[in-house]
Amino acid sequence: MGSHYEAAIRKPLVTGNKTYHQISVDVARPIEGQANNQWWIVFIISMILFLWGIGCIIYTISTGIGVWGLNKTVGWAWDITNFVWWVGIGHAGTLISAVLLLFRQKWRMGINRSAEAMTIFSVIQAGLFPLIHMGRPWLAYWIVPIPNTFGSLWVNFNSPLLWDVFAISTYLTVSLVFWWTGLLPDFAMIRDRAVKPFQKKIYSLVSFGWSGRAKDWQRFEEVSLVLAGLATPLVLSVHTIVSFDFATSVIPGWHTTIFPPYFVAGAIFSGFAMVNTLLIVMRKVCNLEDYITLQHIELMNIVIMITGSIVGCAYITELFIAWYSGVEYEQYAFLNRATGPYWWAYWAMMTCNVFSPQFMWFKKLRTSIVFSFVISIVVNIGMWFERFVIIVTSLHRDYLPSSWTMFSPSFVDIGIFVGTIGFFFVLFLLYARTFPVIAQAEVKTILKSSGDNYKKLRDK
Amino acid sequence: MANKFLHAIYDDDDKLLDAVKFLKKEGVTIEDVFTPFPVHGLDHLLELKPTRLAITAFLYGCIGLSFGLLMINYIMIIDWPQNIGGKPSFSLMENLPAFVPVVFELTVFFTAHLMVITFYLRSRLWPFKKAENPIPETTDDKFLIQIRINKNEKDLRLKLKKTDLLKMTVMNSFNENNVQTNNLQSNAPGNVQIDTMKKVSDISIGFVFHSRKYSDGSSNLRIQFTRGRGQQYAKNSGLRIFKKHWISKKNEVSDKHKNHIKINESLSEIKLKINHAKNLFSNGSINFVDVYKIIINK
Repeated sequence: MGSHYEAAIRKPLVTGNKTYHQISVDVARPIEGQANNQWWIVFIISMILFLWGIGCIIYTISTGIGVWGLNKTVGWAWDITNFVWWVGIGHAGTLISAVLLLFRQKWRMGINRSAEAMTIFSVIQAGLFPLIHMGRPWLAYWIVPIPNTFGSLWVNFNSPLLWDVFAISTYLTVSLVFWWTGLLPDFAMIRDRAVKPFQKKIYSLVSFGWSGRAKDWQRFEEVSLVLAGLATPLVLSVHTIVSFDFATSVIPGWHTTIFPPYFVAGAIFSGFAMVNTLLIVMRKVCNLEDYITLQHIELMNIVIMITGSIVGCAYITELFIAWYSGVEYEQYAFLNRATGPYWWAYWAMMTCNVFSPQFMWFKKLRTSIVFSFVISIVVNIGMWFERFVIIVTSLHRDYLPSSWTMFSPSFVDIGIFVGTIGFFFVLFLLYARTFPVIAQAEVKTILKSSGDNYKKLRDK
Repeated sequence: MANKFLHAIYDDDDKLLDAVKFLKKEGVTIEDVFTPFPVHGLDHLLELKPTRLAITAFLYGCIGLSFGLLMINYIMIIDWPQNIGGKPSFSLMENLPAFVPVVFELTVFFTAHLMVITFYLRSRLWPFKKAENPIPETTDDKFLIQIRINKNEKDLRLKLKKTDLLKMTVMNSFNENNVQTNNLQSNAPGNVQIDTMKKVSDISIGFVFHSRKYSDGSSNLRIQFTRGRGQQYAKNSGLRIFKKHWISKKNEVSDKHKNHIKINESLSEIKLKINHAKNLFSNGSINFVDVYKIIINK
């Protein structure tokens, strides 16, 4: 017991008097049991949204990008807004599984599996937008560096859009192997419990024959640590590069050096909000309140509060620097953001992202599940508006007042966005019924140090 | 003879560590240890060499970095230099800042994927690979020490019995069909479990509803027999019950159900039979199939 000591002041991370076996049973229950009606209702709604999105994508590709609300002045709008929004959401998963691993934060273990799943599913949604925006997605392979058919003309390695190709594809695949490697022992647990032959076959296949030898565990821990060390700079680089899409251009409102840290903080902010949205529902539906405790939710709320404040600082810095630069165009871009025709989007962003997370200073509010859920939704709406504000308000009034215009989305713009939300939830709901949603092998390692029953025993 | 193993099974990681320490002191060579999660300090006790995967990761990173630089140098500088917005295009060094993002991503890409592939190959993990843990419970909550037997079986057993073990089994090879449950009866002290399959806790008998409902909303109540993980039977009890009035904690119907007195009477009759059969099973006087027969044949 001595080796499992943890300070009494730390709150337990596993409650409900668990044993090792009980953890296996609790994690396997949603997989071995049957889906309830609520699951089917949400799944069918998500599926309908997804199908509607597919319809809009087919319409776009068969007719052309003209079916969107874009015009000559605003050539980028909802597509890139949604792309950045989804990539940003993905960042919290890697932050939880990699950065918190390096910092030895044990509360990561209850939530890392689902957060990483969220990462992968949201990066898939993000990847769809550039692909559709190409207009001819069957030529998507032109973005990889291969000599084209007319001679050896190559892709441009000076372009942030190509950096994005490398960043997003590295991020997606590295997140996937990181996730899957962590899943092997948990798939093996499901495999060894399975009674139905088909289930046994499937989980044998996906667990890659994991046996849990001492040497395998030694390698497993080393690989996890190195992957965490790689994923940490990777996740920071990905959103940095996404922000370069804007920052390296010469559009007033985009051309700022503050973008990389500001975008990374915003990404973590929105990602944690999405983790909160998903897990507050999942812990209830899958009976995982003993593993995703109020303590977890409170800690995530604190991260939301801090990153929200960083984002707030960035907004104010932007305004200050625009004024201080003395550049007329720069000053106008920001004045127009706050007081121009899109003032409502700017103030929606300010309210949702800067004001609402400040409630989390109050312990009573950040430990309230209903309030946390509401704020997590508000934050995600706010972060969508942030990208919309940056993109559309900077474009809609350019250097030529004669080409000033407004942007309004067509039903196809809306349909594709709603479709990706549906697709995301379809993937997440299927995941919740077939994957071990808690990293049970990892949780078992902290049971004796952070389980409520063991803590009580020690305190006596 | 070469492939005969003794398996000592523990139900706690601290007990396992104590046992490994003890066996090491006694000079027993431990072939392998299977655990459901990484047990800290176990690799030091087993004197496993530190893994070199991190070193390979560094080398793979160097490969990724070189590959990225060489590729970009060939594409952007040698093969087709272009004037893009007046950026320097005739020297890799001068153009390097613009290449940092892609070179970095390629370094991470190569390191992560090649290291994980190396890990999978070294630990022999791939799709369709058959799992090699001797008992399935080692991925759940059991810890297993595997020791090779070389004509010293008796000595090993005596030593193992001094540790706080749950049970001991002998296996002839990695083939699961050859597992013999060890019979320690001749020298077993009371605290060693001889055959856990005979324990009452390993069979469970309960009530479940048939998934199909009758048109009036009632469904057949079935008795379900489970033993270990492999065997499960369900048989109709002959009672038709409205599920909404079923109290699963008591295994009764509530008084809102029609004929509830009659139904609860026949339920308690079944429960008596179940208790009787369970007692006989724990004495070892009947086997699992008999349990089933006693309860079903009225």
